[in-house]
Amino acid sequence: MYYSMTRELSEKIETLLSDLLVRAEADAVFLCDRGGNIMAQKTTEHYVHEENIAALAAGSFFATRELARLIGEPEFKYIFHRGDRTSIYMQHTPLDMLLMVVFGKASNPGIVRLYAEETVRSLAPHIEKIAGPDETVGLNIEIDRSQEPFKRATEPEKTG
Amino acid sequence: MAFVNMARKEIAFKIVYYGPALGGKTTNLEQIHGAIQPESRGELTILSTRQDRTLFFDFLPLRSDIIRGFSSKFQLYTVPGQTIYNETRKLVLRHVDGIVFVADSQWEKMEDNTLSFQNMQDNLREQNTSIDQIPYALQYNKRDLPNIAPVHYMDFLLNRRRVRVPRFESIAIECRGVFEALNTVSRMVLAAFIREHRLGHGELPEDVCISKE
Ligand SMILES: Nc1nc2c(ncn2[C@@H]2O[C@H](COP(=O)(O)OP(=O)(O)OP(=O)(O)O)[C@@H](O)[C@H]2O)c(=O)[nH]1
Ligand SMILES: [Mg+2]
Repeated sequence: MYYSMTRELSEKIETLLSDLLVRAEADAVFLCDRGGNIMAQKTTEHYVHEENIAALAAGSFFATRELARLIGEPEFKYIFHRGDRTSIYMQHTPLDMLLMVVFGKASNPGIVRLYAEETVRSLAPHIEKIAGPDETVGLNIEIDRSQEPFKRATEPEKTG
Repeated sequence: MAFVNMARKEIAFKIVYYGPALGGKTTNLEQIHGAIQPESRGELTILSTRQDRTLFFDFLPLRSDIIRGFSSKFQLYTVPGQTIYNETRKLVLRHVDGIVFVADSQWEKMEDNTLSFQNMQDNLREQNTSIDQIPYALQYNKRDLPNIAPVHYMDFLLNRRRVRVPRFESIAIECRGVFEALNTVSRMVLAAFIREHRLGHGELPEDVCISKE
């Protein structure tokens, strides 16, 4: 199984994320899947390790959902991590994805939640279009057979 | 579950290092991070207890140009091997595209190995998939130690398919057998992706089409 996202769909989703970024006066907005893949993002800050941020966000969010289930709650609708300067808001979306908003002192949790909930409603029909195989059939995936996927910086010394 | 992003020309895959506690999964990621060409690697995130046991997962994002015209992202995760962390293992295993099963070659760990392998099969089944559908390779680790089981015995325990899966002897602390397992599983994942993607049907949206065969 795999997901795929066309350029057109990606643009639609990014427009909605941009709107959210501006209206909520946030630093960054990420849409990621359960595995921590970034589906789309809009940021004003530059984060060097975005992939790690997404993996950790997805890990903690879905662990918390599991926690909810174990204490008999169907789900926690959203999660706040409140920091001194920077805070994080996370909310579940269709297709088991996660919307994450990173925001600072310019904004506040109430505003972020209000706009994020609205954004998830607008995103829903688009997210549901992130589709499986059919969308990329015919796409010519060509593997470079002349090399290994990953190489060492230096080859190890041969011993023995 | 692989993810193809046509806007960014990216394909992302998830590879999970699975296996018994203290087998060497975290060590694999550390060695890859330490030895790989710097342009291929991102930041290594390690979430461990004070005793260096993996608590949640480790994570290392890698990039390859193995698919022409795309940036291929391989997200490497480890699970925590300790028995009590099964809920966490299930979370990490979600949407996995390929697995490296890291077994501990020491005689006294054979039961841990088979239990962990069984646990992996159970967890995959719970997610409505199975080991028959996920590309995986075996890594028999700690071959530097004196008290190790012979490879054919470990095959007998863990590599029981009619067509055997690739298997590597390794000494993860010396980075031996580490890239071999990574590259093999990455290639298997790519092959599975291509196979599945050719089996699909239906009309292709214009903007998805790079070149039709
Ligand atoms: N002798 C030897 N020791 C190894 C080898 N690979 C790993 N180790 C050691 O085994 C111990 C456990 O390694 P880890 O990589 O933390 O094991 P793990 O599978 O991540 O363990 P959990 O996180 O508890 O599941 C560490 O002390 C490593 O240094 C090896 O090839 N040979
Ligand atoms: Mg570990």
